[in-house]
Amino acid sequence: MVKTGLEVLISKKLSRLRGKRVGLVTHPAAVMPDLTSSVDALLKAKVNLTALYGPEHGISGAAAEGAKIGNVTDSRSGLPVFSLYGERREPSEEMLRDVDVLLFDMQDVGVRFYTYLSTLFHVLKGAAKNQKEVIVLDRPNPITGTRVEGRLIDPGFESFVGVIPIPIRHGMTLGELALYMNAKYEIGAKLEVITMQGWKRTMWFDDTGLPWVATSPAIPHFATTILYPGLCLLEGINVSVGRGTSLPFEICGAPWIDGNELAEEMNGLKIRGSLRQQLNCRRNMGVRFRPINFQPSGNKYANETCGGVQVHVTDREAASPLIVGLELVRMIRALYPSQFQWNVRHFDILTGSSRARESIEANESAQATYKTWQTAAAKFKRERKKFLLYK
Amino acid sequence: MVRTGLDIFIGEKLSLVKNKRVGLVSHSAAILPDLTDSLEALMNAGVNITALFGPEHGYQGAAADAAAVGNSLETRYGLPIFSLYGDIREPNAEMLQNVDVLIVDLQDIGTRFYTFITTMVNVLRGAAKNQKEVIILDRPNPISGVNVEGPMVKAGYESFIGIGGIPVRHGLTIGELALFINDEIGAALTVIEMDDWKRAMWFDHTGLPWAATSPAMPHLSTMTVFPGMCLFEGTNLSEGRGTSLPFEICGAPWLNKYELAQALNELEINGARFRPIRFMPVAHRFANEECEGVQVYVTKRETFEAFSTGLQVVKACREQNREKFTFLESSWEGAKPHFDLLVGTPQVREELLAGKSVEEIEQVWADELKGFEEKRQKFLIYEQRLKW
Repeated sequence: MVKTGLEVLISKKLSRLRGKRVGLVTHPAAVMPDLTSSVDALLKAKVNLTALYGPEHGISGAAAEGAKIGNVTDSRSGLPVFSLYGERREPSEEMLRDVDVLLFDMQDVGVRFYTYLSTLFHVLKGAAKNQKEVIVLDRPNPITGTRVEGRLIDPGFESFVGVIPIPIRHGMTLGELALYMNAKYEIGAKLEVITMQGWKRTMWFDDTGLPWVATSPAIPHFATTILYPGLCLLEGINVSVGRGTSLPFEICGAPWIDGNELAEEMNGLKIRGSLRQQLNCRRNMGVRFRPINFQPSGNKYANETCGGVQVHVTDREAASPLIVGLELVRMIRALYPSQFQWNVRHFDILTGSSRARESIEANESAQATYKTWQTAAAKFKRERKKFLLYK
Repeated sequence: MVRTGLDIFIGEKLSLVKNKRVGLVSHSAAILPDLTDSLEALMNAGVNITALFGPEHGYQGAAADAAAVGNSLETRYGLPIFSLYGDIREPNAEMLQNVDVLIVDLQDIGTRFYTFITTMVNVLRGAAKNQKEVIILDRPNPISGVNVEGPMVKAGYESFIGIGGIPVRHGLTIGELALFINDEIGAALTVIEMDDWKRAMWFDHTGLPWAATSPAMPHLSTMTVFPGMCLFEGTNLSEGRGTSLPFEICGAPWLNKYELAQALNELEINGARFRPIRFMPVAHRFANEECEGVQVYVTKRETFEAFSTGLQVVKACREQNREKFTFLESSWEGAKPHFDLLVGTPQVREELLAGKSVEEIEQVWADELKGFEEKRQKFLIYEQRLKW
């Protein structure tokens, strides 16, 4: 079984925190293998916690996506909880007053637009400005550390769902990303990463032996994270990605979509190019599409019956969720031109530029778009090399 | 890989319906390994389907739980869909007018109060009354065919969520259950057996893809805890509907998650751990209110007792706040408390209210359950081996 940074800290490195006042940036998904929370585990280990910091969804994990969160007091420990997803996103001098070291322990899902890495970026900056140490307790990238996919961010398209120009699926742990960001953007925080034991880059989360805890309300299962990098792109068009159902990011649809038609088209996708390219591409899909009808109980199209597809992963080693996401957007636009609508700004900040949208509008193939993405991703892959902590 | 009854039927048994008009009782979760649904698969095989019959959630699978479903028209083939979850729940002469044989292909989840098996029984009854044949295409019991749990339905407590003669967790496939029940009904029944399914298999051993059987049944982890956690439907707590983790979590705004998780973990329940959780349903009970409760983690499913664990969680929630906790007074299935209809007897609720332990309560049906295990033996189609 893999040992997380939190476990390694508690079993071997507590002396690092002796005599220090410790702030903890965390959320409910940061647990020990027996499901004890990071806060409880550290308190039990007699770490002198003086403040807690919560990301998007809050320290309790119940808040909806994008909902601003205020400061509170933790009812059980009596510790102040400062929100890093409210008025401020970077911890201020005042928030760090009673703290010598900031511990960062969050379970990420390996995707640029999932905001925990944005919070990490701001924590490093706030700590550097206020001369506080940062210790990142590393955790697995649930969708492996080998795949790198997707374009970087063009100037002007930075946002909290894209703070730095890295590929959408970066294939790094948050510990590795902390080292990368701290060096590349000359943040200059005094940073240490407590590495995991036993984690290998090729591991999926279910290879680690660790229990999965929902990282946010719409990522209930590890299975959700496999397609999330691609299906989330559909949040930039007027379809439901299954929020308000029990299958978020495994399904998509809208009241004006015919699920049978969409599934048939997606399963039989005509791919341009040489036979070899076509075969590669077909393999890249690694998925099958099944027509479904569903009724979200909240969020987009609440209480309306939607037609759409469930994406079944048949070969996760081969599947490219980003190709799947791009092809779905392209196909839905082609089949339903009069109903299809972009949320231009949202789609662009998710993909990191206006080019993916423009190429779909110009009826270019998803493969062509993906190919340009992968050229950029390959460059990043070389750049990230010296920050990798695991084989 | 396991081959379902549908797969075998199309490959080897099509002669059974040669020159016959076929009514298909099915839903979107009945699929082939390549995700083709039963209707398309049978049409492609040249079966002469003349009518469709849909269970709870409708033929297309999108309707909410307990929502009555009307008759409609299937969009791909223009076939009539008769709802078996509307005013009429047993197919009648008019619905069966153009049908010689009824094929039933429903993916069940192995728990008595999940209504597809009730629909199957009603199909046997309607078919027997109208002299129609029934062919059941068997599918796996996703939570295995070994463990049985819970009480039988007491006389007077039968309902659409509680057929008589079987415990809550029956450990049968829908085909075996049909043989077991048809002993009394006497319909002309054929069960098309699966290939390679063994009783000890959980759904993820079968190699088959899972299609959600209803909107709140997304994954195997849901079904694993469902026989017990569904009992929260009979209380004034949230059973996690309106979140992405239905039945895996439960709670209410007035619970303390830490105390609840601690109390449950101290019981050292076989095969389960409990994690404190805060959540906010977007619909259903406590919509947009923050609730506290627990998430059930199954650490050893082979020995995990889902129904018994559900009772422990209900009891622990009640003990934390006896003023706020209540059992609901009635059910959409009738005037009796919903909890009683789920469990099949008022005794469990009454004894929980009297402060009895779950171990004591369970003693009452221990013999009954043993009797069922013996009685079911002669209807078992698949091997009892624990390994394969």
